Amino acid sequence: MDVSETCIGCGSCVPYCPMEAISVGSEKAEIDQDKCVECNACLRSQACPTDSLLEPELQWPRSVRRVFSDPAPQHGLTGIPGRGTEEMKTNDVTGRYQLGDAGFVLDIGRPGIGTRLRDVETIYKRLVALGAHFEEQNPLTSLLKDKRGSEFKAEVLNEKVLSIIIEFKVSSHRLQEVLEELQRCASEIETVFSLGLIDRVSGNGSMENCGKARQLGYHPSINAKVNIGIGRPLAKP
Amino acid sequence: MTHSLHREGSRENLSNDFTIYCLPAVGINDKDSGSKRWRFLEIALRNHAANAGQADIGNMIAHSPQELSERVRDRFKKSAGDGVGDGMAPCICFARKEDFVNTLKEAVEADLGLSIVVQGILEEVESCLREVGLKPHTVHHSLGVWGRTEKLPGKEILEITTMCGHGMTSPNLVKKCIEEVISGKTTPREAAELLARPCICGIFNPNRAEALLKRIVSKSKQP
Repeated sequence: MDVSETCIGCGSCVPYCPMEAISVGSEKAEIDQDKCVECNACLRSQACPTDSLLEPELQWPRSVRRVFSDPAPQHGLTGIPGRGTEEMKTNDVTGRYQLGDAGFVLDIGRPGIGTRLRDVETIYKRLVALGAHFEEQNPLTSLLKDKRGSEFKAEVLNEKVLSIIIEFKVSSHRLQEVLEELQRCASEIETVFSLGLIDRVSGNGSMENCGKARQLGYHPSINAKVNIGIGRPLAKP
Repeated sequence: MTHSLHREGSRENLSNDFTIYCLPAVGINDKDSGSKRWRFLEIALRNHAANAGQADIGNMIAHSPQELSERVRDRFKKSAGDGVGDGMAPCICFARKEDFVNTLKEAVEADLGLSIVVQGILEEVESCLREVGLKPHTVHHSLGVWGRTEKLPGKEILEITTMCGHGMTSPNLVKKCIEEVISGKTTPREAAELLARPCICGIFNPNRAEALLKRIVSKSKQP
């Protein structure tokens, strides 16, 4: 994001930036381009009385920031906005997660810290080494040097984004192994991630993965996201 | 939308906060799904949604419910194959359980054939689903925030900012609103709507934000 010469330095835009990238200098607002993730929250706020915020044409690799930070545009690969995937949202139809699977969704950089892509690569490499099965239709794959590898393109590593999602699954019996690896990753990165665990619910209502996580000493939140199973055609088990 | 399960809060302040959205599985049932997604939005708006929106259109703070509905309808009319390859989904939140349950009932009766995803306190969601003869198919649990959690803002700020699934409601905007409510410059409702405005997909619950702000302000006045 840029600031034009028409800025009067009123500071109205400052609080709207989730990354604290805007400050007011001696005469006008200044944007710390390293902190700015091109999410366009400031522009959409319409807080500026002089229309002085300018959305630039972004070139690679900076364009990566907008892809993973601005929720408005649809992603060319997934057809859905921002950096998300369908994950369990359409599981009644896709059958992506079955009984016996443990699905994981890491929302890296959330809530509200943002992340450098080098931290995302750190986690991704460890999960690849673990043999995790990744969701292919994920915008993250566009960052890889080679789709079958785990290294990111070098030029993106220092780019900062609001958040990136890593979605993968393993067999439920490997739940503990994955959680322990994620704990190690968490101690090595400079950001945070919100961790989600997916359960295909059994016929008797039991949720194997949630139960195992509790036994291991983890504390699933009282609130959860639920696919209610009325999508059609229903995926075969 | 991915982040809706991570809404922070206590049992007490999460109990009147439900979110819901309807979407196709792209490549499987997305043909003719655009108009169905619009019909779903209509059902939710009829049942007193606290907020609603779609990421490429905006929310109920920026548009009236009727305007939002018309924009979503027109958007999907222009979509190839009435929604083919298009994963956009209207998002809705409710501040009252009965409105959420009524929306579920009507959505089930409408038999749209698209996936519906809800969020709330799991026991309450399960209870609501039982009322309409349903059970959870797949559940996404939150195991919380890991990593450099010392960099996070305080709990009271997070309870508000995490309602925006895309991180658009900034902690500094919340702090500014708190100051302005305390000083009397704005009301809790006005501040709540200001905080809901950046959340373009409409999943931010302004009623809950208003209640949270009132609680924060009330605590600030205690000796």
